[in-house]
Amino acid sequence: MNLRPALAALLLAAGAASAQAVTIGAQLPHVTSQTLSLEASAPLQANLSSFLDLAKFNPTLGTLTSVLVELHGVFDSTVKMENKSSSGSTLGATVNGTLSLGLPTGGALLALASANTSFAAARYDGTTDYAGASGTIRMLTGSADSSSSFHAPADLALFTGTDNLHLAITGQGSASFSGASNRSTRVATTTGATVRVTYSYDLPVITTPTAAVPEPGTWALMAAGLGMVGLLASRRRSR
Amino acid sequence: MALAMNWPRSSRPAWPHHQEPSLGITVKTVAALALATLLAAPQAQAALMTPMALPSATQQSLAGASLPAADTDWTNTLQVQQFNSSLGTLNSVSITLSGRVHSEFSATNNTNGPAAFNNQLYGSLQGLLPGGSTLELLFEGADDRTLDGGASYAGVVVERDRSKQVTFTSGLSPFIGNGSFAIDLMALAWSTIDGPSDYDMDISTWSSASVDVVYDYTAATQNVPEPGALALVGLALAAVALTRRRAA
Repeated sequence: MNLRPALAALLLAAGAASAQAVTIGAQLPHVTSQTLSLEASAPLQANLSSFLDLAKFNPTLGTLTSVLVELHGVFDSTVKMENKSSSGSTLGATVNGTLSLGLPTGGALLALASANTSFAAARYDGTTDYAGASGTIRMLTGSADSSSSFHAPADLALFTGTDNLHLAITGQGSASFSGASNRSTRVATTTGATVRVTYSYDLPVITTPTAAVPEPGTWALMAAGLGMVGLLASRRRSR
Repeated sequence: MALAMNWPRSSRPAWPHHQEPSLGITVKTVAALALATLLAAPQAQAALMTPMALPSATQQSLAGASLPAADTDWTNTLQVQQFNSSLGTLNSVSITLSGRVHSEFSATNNTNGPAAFNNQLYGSLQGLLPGGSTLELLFEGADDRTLDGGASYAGVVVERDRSKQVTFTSGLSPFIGNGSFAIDLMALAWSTIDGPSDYDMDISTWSSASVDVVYDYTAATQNVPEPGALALVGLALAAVALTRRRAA
């Protein structure tokens, strides 16, 4: 008899489909996290002191859960040294760069970078040209990264809105020289920065009436299955 | 150079003209002479006291040499006159090394705001003495000031003087002779500058050095004045005796 296996298979299929539909329905209310990163840069410049504008998190995108602010600072220094002593000397130069990014929550994010060089200078060659055996010109480059993240609702509110974050960025440097006490030294420094703000947020929750939906389908499937069984039986009987 | 001592000079002028009274001398003259002698005696005695009072009394002879200012770093040698052994017996040698380090700073602040400039100066002057010992002077100075953005300064001076003494009581042979002994000198100057991210800074430094030597010795000639002093007393006594005899 063919009827029984076919019926059993149909019932099994209908049951499986039903179970699957319920499972999918249970997952739907779960939220989805997304991130959005924005970047702004200040090019290398002397006496860096300006503002970087970055869009705040638009609340229509979802619910802001955290903000990560990353600062990447760079400095380039040109260091010139000439030993004017009557004997050779090792001349040293150190440049320190401090980049400060004002945060909307108050306070500042700092990135500290340092670079140094030394030059084994011969006795003064008679010309202050920062060249030859007694003089040199060196390029010093430094970079540093720092970051800060925010989770507290009060902090997140400061990053939320439809206007811009207006973040103050300043570069401050210091340079020091050492060596025999007859010398000429020069230093010139440019500083630049890149700021990246990453917003992590949850998408708006879409609620769906999950429990009611599968049932008509299940019953319809059952009805279709029984209908098929009935059709087969009637066809067999009519033969 | 040996210091000229007091006694030969002060004892000399009182006597040359009166030392040999003529035979035809008057009583008054002799009496006056005796009086003068007695009056002069304490003075002479005082003058003679230094070399004569104690047989072990010491005297000092000075020597020295110096080097003019020269840009650091430098090395040089000072020649100092030795102690002439004909003066007496050398007891000790005191050597004083004195030095000066002088730095001048000039700077321009090339940033657009005020900035602190901190200059720190270190120097040393080292003398290598006969016998291998060293005398070292260390100098340290600082100048801290703030310059407005774009402003300059020039001729800011940091200067330091130092001296140090060492005394030798043994191993004196290198200091004795008719020539000189050598002190090898080495002058170093080192500095650090702290400033903003953009500036010009020039530093020039010189240092000078001098050496003063005191030879402390026991004079070989200390018994020479005695006959003179005795003669003086004898003369005074004779003059008194003569006066009395003539008066009697």
